[in-house]
Amino acid sequence: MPTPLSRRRFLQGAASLGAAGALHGTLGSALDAPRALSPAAAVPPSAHAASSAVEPTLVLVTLYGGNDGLNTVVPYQDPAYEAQRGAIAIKPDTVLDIGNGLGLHPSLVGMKSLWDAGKLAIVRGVGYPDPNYSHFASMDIWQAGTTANDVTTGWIGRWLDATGANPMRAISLGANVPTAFAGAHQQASAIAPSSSPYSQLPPGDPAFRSVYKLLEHPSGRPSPLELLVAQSGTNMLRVSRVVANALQHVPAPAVLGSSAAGYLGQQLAVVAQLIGAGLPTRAYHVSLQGFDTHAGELVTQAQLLQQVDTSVTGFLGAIAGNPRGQKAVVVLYTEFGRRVQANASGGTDHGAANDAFVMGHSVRGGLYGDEPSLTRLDVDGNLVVSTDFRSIYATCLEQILGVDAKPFLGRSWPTLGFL
Amino acid sequence: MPAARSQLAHLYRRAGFGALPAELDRAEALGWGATLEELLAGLNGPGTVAPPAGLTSFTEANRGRGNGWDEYINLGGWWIEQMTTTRTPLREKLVLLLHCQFPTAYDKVGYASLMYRQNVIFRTLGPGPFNVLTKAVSQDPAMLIWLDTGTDEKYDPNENFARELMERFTMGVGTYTEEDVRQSARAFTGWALDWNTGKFRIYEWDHDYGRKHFLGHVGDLSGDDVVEIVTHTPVSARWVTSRLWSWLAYPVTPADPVVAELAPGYATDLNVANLLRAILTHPLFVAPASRQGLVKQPIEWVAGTMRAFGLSTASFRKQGKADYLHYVLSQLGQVPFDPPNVGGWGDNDYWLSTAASLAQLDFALTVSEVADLSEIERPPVALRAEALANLLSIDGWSNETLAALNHVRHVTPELVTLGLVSPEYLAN
Repeated sequence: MPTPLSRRRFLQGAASLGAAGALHGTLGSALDAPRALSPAAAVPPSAHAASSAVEPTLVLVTLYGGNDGLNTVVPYQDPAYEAQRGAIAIKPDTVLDIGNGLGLHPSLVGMKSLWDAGKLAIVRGVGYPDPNYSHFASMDIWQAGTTANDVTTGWIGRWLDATGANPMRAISLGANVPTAFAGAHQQASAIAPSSSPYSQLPPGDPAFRSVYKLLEHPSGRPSPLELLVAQSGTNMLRVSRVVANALQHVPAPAVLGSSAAGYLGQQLAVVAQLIGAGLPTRAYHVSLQGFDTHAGELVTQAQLLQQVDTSVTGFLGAIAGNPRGQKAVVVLYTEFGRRVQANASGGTDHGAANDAFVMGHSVRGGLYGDEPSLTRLDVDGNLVVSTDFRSIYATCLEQILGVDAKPFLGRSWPTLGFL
Repeated sequence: MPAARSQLAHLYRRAGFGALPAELDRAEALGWGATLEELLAGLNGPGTVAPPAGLTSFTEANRGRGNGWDEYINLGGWWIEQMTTTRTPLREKLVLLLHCQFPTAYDKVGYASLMYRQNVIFRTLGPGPFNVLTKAVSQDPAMLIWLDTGTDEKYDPNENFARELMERFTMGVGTYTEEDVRQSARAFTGWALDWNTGKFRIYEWDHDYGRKHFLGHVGDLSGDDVVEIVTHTPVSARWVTSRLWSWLAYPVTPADPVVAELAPGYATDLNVANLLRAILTHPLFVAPASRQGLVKQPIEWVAGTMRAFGLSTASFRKQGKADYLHYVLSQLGQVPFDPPNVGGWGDNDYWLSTAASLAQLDFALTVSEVADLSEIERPPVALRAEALANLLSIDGWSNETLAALNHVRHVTPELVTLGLVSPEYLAN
């Protein structure tokens, strides 16, 4: 059996392949295909501090399972609230009052501070017509940005399709890229929510590139799936080196490594590092599972919201000193709200209208959209939608990504004033 | 690779976890029909296997401190080793596909012993009637915990299980009304896990014996009645057929013509073994659309590679990588016993991302470090790339991949690493 030197040799290959810059120099030279990156990437991290032309960044946070918005932004002065929620009503003396008869869940201490500083926008009554109570169908609607069921691309994915092939434009944390970040031809890059896979640089040996060469000069008849494997591998070789370099240069914010920050904190730590390194990425996706609280909601949701609170506010704190961080906007959403009336399991079943949250140093805090009524419900006993979710997307596309939203959402939607 | 051998390799990849060269030699001698019959014959018999060593029973674990993380990690390794050593590959593949059909996660269930018990149900009842299987899975502790059955009350049912039973397990989304969800949820009131015995029971005082209107049926429907009703609907025949076809041939919706063709046969007996036969003997199963129709699921790719190189969990442990398999499968996005949610995993492009590619590289490098590569090294240098294709039972290499492999053919571990991450091996 041969001596296991291969890993080291592959790594040496990386250094010898004109990628010396990846090890010692700027981020820009880490990329072997200059055409793929905007010029901003060629600027070393320190130079970004002086740049005034920093573009805003979207940090999209998906909460899977359907977070219970009524127990997140609690209408605690409405008598119907306690009547409907009974044992799982949040106690009025524990909520964090934000005025208008509303209080934030007691876990959201950091977000309350953001509210007080005018940096937290809460969009009320968000949803779409004819609510779908399937997690997966509703999440598909949210991620596709349409209620048409023949659309398989995501709303950010279509922006990727329209803006070239640079794999650094959008990054999703975790192995699987969500529909929101997948277009017909382009998909966001994905990176592991940990620096360890990048602590050794990925290989730069010419053999690795040629194994993925199918894409550029296909011989024979490679299948579409083989071409996708090749595309993913090609992008991986490029992206991993940039990411490895960034993670090496910028330390992970300690607050996001705490157990309270959890898995969401791990993901946002990497995003904070990449923003800190001045990557030109315009959209990030992070996510957290477990919000499907049909039973034992009080305990589960309190833990999950604490994780959200610690990680999101820790993240905003960590990037505050960076011009790109100053312009980063965090958007939190989930596939649906939950039934107004609690069930007997100490939980809630699938519902409709919900809150979405927008946070950041450049955000105009406050309440947006109409307050949903707890007594005038839809036929299934759910909150009635008053704000279409695509108004949030239109605002993000126009104010963050700087494009006309209409081509990406199929029609015009009124924008909201949070940016 | 000759056409007949290539088609047999496709059969072994889809109806199992790939074939070793010796297995393909034997299959070639047997011929397509006899090989297929042999794989299908593996669906007969009790399907029992030895449990993982050191797994604490649920009742014991529940009295003490649970099963613990180590037992969960061991359980995952145990299952992968069933895939790498099985003599009934189609049956073992079916166990994985049923995990995909009834996605249940350790993350919430919390007991390795219960995940194991569900796995045993897939093994023993999987090839039989789908209604019987669905009932057993529904009343098994892992599912009772996973979808909160038994946490509700007679007059205030929890909709979680009733909804997912229809949407994910038996019928597919959009085939029932919200009223059907509410009515069937009533039928499952009183269903519960008895934590003392670890067994299913029905608390009669908490069960709603009232009249229910459900999918056109009226009466005092029990939970068992609901399972019978949903599994016998025509939409269920299409849903179940489309799911198995999608994992074995290429992704289809329940509206696909091939599903319309196969579903009525399945509907006559709901027998999963018979449905597998219908799929594997269908002309489209060997058509180009199927031959090029799937990216390997990470578990298939990892288990198939371990099988090809004769690796076990101990192979990684020896190298000081005790949790390695769990780590790399997590990086690849598919941890056995831990799907992300009740929707399970996706297919094809779902498995392809720059993060997954990096994890593939990690696994390929690790395999090339821990495996015995003498089979690849023995032939003359010029024939090593071909030897690797032979070992992996793939048709051959594209010119581009062959050029890359030949570039490193003097250094066998590099040759193997590149072959394992090649498009030809990861897809198809």
